[in-house]
Amino acid sequence: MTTQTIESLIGSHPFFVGLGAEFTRFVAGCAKNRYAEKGEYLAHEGDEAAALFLVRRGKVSIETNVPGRGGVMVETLGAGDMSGWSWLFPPHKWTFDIKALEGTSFVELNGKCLREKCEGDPRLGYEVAKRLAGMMVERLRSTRLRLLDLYGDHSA
Amino acid sequence: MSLGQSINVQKQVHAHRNSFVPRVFTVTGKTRETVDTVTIKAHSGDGGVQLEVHPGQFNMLYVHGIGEIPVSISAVGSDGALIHTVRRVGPVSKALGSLRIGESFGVRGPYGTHWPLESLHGRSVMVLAGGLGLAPLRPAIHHLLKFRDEFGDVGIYCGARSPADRIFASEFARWQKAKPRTNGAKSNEVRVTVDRVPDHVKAAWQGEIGVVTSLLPRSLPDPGNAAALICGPEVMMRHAVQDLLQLGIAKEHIYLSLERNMKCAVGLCGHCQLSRYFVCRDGPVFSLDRVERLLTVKEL
Amino acid sequence: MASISANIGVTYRMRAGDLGALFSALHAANFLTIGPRLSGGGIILEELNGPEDLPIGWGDEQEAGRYRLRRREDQAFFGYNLGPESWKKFLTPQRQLLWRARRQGETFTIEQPERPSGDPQQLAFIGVRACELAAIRVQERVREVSGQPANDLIDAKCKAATPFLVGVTCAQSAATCFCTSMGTGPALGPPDSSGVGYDLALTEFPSEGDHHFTIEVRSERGADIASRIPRQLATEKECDAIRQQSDTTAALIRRHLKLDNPGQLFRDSLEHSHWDEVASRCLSCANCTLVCPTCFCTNIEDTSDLSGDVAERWLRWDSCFHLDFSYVHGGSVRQTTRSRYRQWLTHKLGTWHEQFGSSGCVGCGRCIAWCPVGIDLTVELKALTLSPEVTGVQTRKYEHP
Repeated sequence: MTTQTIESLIGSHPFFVGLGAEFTRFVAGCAKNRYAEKGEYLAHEGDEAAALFLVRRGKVSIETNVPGRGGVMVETLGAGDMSGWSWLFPPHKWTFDIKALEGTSFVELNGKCLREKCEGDPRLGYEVAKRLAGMMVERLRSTRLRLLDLYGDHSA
Repeated sequence: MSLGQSINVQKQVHAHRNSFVPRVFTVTGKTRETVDTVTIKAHSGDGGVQLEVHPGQFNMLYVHGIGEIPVSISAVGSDGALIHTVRRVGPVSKALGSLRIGESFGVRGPYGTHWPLESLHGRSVMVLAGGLGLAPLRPAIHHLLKFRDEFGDVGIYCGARSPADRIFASEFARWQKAKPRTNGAKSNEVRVTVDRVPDHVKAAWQGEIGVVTSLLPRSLPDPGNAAALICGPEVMMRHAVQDLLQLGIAKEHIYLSLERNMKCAVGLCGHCQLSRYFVCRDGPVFSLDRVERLLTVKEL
Repeated sequence: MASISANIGVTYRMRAGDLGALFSALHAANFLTIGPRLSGGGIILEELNGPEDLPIGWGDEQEAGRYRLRRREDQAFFGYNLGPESWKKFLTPQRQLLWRARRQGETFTIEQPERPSGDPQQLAFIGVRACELAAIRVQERVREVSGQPANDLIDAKCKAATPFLVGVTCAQSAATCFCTSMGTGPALGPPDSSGVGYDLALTEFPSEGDHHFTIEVRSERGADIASRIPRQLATEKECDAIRQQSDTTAALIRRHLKLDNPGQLFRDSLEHSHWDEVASRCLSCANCTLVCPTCFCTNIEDTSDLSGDVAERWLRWDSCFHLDFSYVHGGSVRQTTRSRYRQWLTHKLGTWHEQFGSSGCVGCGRCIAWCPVGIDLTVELKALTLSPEVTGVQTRKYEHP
């Protein structure tokens, strides 16, 4: 897979839409196209958070292993979603597992590479940070809505 | 039917609707949807005129000696059958859910505004249902799929608390297999998600986990020609509305089904008021432009 | 004398001593006469046998949170203003049985209680003030708009045709009155095409030595009744005196309610900090809704006997101040007194216009007098329509407790 094609994959992914040709080319240098089989882990909780994932096709789960309960899924993500921001924040460790629930195509951006590029160019850093923040706002909102247990019966 | 007969029918229907006296219906079928929700099918025992119901409307259901509650019509039945889906959370709903086949209950209605499907011909329609909110939307879904060629893209997005709490779960497969438009490349999309998956079912759940609004498409090809029907807990609808507005759908074409305390159901007792509206009569289906601001005022 | 028929649109004069003839004429025409009488330190509305049952020589003094009777110096029959009760007590009784149901095996049958045979008892209301006429009309409009299931109401008295209305001009105003602000009084005025038709309009002149009434005939049946009352044609001076009396009363009205833009009350003031201030005083006792002549909220109550075999459905007065009025999903939408007071006021003065085409308030002032803490909606309204700069208080978003 040539860098050129990776560039267009990145530029057209909802997370990086609007980044501009210059920055897209720049971050593509950190990227590679990947495929995960069903059941394959993309990330393990506690490991060095080495990546940002852009899901292209398929489905992954955000989960954690609970002793006695096995892997407990908290969310699923699919085509057009992204995952992984701990590469930007110390201690740079994954806080959850990410597992492919079916054959999944995705773009992996190396975290250290991306971090260094952001530190080096604050304009790029701001673009990336804005997008990450927006993603977290959305995830937090969704999580809070689910926490409200709106569909539950609260009459008793 | 001659003109004289049809006027008489209209009078009967009107007199029945506009009344405090229920008609007696008998349970002829029961389906357990989830641990606390049941769908009841009923036929009238008085040989009287059939109720003309529209998707989105509700009836007041009465259990002898217990009380009366509003319940949405969850399917438009043939041969005069009334179909309601009831969640057992209070004395009346528990009593309704416990009725056996052959037992009777009272029906007043149908009441309220309905999903304006006739006015949405030619539009792409998204249906967004949260929890029991799927019940008043199901007859709209049936209509959209039955008269598929009248509409553009159709998207059905449902959220439930957990896999076991999905109502009408067995119909999803049928909806997924429903034919898209015969003319023009218009698609059907049916997606379901749950808030959580209890451990003992996790292996069995192949679907998505997340909030229902995450199922919406990221963009629409022609938002000016789209419409959305939403029903679920009010908080869910408040947030869903934001996402739909982001997609560019006009307020006039986003429809919500609201709920307030219904007692008389004819706009007289005053209980169901939301600002200037009597939800039993001016609703429960409202277009967003009429109620957007009202939903943001606490305890209105 | 009785043999000379009276005519619509004509004003007559009657000696106070002949007031009994009005009652006799009504009784002879099978009307039950209802009107004000002294009871328990107040003036309430009850069945009257004759003019001797009226609160002769009594007046009332009212202020915010205060109601007292006072002895007048004359023997006026209608020398008071308004008691806590309104005519809705008879038009939409506090409790009405809608139907009864009996269990029969797996089913049940519903019986609507038998209507009494013959003509239903007709009511005559004696001493209806201008604001009360307006209130009757407001409630009629509510029922028109909602398409009330009138056929179900089996209370015979309620089912009667429009009551015979004997209006009375207000010769005095209470400090709590503000009918002039609402355009509902104090003059009875000619009934217009949209107004409640009334039958006779009395104006009392309790002067020493010449205690008399003028009677304006406003309807056919009013003419029939007036035909049986000893009377003379009123002179032009006596007719003018009617207008003068209501003009004088109007000039003495001290309270005013100013609301140019009811829609604005609803749109702009929902989060006004003043609601918190009122809520700190309001007891949510529902007195205002009980005494208000236009409040119409009712509750459907389903009851059952101990065996569960016989069930009944009742229609009862309710109030938006009750905590469970807005109950849904295990709790009420309006949990705070603040939200319930706001609902009452913005409905009465604001959204009522959009629902029914008029204000819900007729300016009778009962809510001011009968509020145990003396909340005065004319004052509260002023505070709500003033901008924060003027009140010096920040309008802030309401925080959940």
